[in-house]
Amino acid sequence: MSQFTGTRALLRLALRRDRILLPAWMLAYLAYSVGGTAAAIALYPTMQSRVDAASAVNDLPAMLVMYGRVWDPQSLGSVAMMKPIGFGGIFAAILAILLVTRHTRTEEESGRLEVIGSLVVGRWAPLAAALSLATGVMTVLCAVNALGVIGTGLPAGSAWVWAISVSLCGLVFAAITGVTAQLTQAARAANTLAFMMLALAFLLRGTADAAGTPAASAWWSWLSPVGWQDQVKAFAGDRWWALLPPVLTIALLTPAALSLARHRDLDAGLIPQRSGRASAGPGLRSALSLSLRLQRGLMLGLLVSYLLMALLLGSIASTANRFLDSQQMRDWLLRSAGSSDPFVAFMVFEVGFAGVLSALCGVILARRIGSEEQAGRLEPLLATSASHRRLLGAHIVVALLGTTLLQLALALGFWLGNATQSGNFSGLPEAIARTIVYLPAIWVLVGLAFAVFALLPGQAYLSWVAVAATVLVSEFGTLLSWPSLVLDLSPFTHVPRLPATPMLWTPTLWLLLVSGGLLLLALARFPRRDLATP
Amino acid sequence: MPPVIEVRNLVKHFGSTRALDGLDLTVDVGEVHGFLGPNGAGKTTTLRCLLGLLHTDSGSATVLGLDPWRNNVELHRRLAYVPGDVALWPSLTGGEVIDLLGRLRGGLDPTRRAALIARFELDPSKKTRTYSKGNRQKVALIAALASNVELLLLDEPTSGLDPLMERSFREVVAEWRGDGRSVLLSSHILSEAEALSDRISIIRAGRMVETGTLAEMRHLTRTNVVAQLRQVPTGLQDMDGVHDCVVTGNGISCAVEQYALDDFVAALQGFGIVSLATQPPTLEELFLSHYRGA
Repeated sequence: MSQFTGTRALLRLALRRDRILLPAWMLAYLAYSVGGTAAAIALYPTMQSRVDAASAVNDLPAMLVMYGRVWDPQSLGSVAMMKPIGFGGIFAAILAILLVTRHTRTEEESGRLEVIGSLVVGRWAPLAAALSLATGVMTVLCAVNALGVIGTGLPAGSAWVWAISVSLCGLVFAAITGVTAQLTQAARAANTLAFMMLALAFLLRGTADAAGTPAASAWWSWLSPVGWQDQVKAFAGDRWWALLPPVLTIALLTPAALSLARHRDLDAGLIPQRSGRASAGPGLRSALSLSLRLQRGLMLGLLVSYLLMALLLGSIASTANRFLDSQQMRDWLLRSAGSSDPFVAFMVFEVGFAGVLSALCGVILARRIGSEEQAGRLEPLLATSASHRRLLGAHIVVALLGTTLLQLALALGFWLGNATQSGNFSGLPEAIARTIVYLPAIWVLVGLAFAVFALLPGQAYLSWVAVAATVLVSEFGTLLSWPSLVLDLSPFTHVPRLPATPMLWTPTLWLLLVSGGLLLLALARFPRRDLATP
Repeated sequence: MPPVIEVRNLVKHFGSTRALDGLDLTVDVGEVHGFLGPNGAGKTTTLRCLLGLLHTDSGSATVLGLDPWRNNVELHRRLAYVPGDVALWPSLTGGEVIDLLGRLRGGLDPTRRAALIARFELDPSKKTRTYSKGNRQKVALIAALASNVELLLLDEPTSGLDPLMERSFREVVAEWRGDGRSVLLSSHILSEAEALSDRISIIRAGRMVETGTLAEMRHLTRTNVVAQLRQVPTGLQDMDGVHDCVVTGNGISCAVEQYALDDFVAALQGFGIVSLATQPPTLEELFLSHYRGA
């Protein structure tokens, strides 16, 4: 019997547990990649329209950071698949990270792996099953992606090289998570480490494209798994050999993860656990101080990432003015950002993108109370004199405060990055106004997450559906000219895009009213429902 | 004095499952009340209703004179609860959790805290992530016992403790109970309830089937009698109130109802008693007589 014994049974268990999650995720992915491409093809009927769209990305460093370079402005596939090429690997990586942690460290932390480990199951089986699951999912994703794109009429060879590069990017991060899951004791920390690697890979790819030439990215793109996916140049030369680095990385990391798994104890991490205080500090005395304590690690990580991201984007922003501004460019910017000034348009794009990201972070902060309830940790608190309202209020304060800090970090980073490049240190209040104006829209999604927690505790996914819908609307809404009725459903549609448009108080007040109403509803209803128990 | 806990005809549904089916329960001031029942009988649901964590469908519950659903916060200042499955925050140390829960309850006695930590041999500087089930239970027990409250609600509090710690637990509860303080102790460990409880209630399928002191409940059950006689006994097995008779040579063993004991021993004398052993029914047998068949 080998250490792999039981892998097949565990894989079947994982498939059974994820039988809804995986198809749902796959469909959402196809809607993004294939559906988005099919719609985008219709937008670029002429060579000129493609060249214009490509230069809107290639001439703006901020767009290069986000989407990567459109390698062949004349190729329909290269232009129409700008977003699936830019983000395809990242989305695959996100799923791979969540899947591998879910079936390794989370199982171990919950104690379920202890039961499994006492059966006829080898030491490598849980990790091997998780990696096999990721491999299977990525293989299926690769096939449906390629066939779907071929179905839209784009060249088959390019479609395959793109689909393979996306799935390989996912698998590299599955292997990375296989390693991080051995390092830390907590599943949350394993996820955080892997996501930090993903963020780093994205930033390496982005800056390398912004610093590169029209023919090639800067060298450091080759250090990033996200960069490798970009370097195959699908629909623009199809460099099959660029699939080699991810394959080699997977071949190196997988045995490394297995060897780490073999040499550690159950429940142990390779990063050792330290002792702490024998009694609580004077600060830990209320529901609020507890939720601050529980979320501070996540908050610190987010704040640092935000500051770095904003510094980088801010320093690139000052170069936006240098770029040639043709009439088409001005028209395109005016249409999609509300201003033809490249600097202003850039601000609007980046701040809008970061605003949706902050809403996602806000919902993550808001969902914490739900996972605390699921873990049975609200019960001992509610059996003390902490009331339902106080407890929920504490989590609401943390979510509102957290998103405010994120938006402030964004403003500070933009301002500082831009000021150090341009030498002009004025304009901090304006920078803050530009990001703060997004808070009411962010809080609508946060309020919705809390309302779902209070009213429909079993339907937590609704909060994520709302976030996903918002991302879809802000990514595709204007691009595909969806009806304004649909666009208006997203709170972000109503945010005044400073400084391209003037401050609009009416929609801002409405958004505040809606978010406040949702939060009050949550506070009113949570004390009236039964506590869910694990 | 009004009872500490008074529950009348309590009903609680989870979907179509009737978890509590007209439950009655009374806990008097100053008593340790054993709350016994098999898994799934509704013990934890009852405790959660008494804490106001679950909304009841019908019936009434009063704890310390308060309505647990309406006056939950006020009530929680005056009681401490130890859940059966203690979930703690993995990133906090045991000591931090004890202090946090104590402070949220309205303060805890630092001397008692230190004494209890020593008594239960807990290392409070370890992250709760590294604790075993027993150690997590100790954290919740110390936080509850070190606070200054009138009522303890304990849900199978010793299920993860070793026998030595279990003994410490019994001693601590016995010391704690004085001064008119009361305990509701849910358990399926009979010896524990037997050793600690003044009165016992037995719950089955969401209904109270028996309440009383152990002595009162023993009236309802049979005493086991084993005797060696000079002659082979005859006719004893047909006596009213005598059950499960086994005669082997001159020996007899059987179970005798309380009311028939006098007549039975008199009848035994007719055959000449060589040795006689009687055993009072254990709680175990009380328990079994309620769950077997019924």
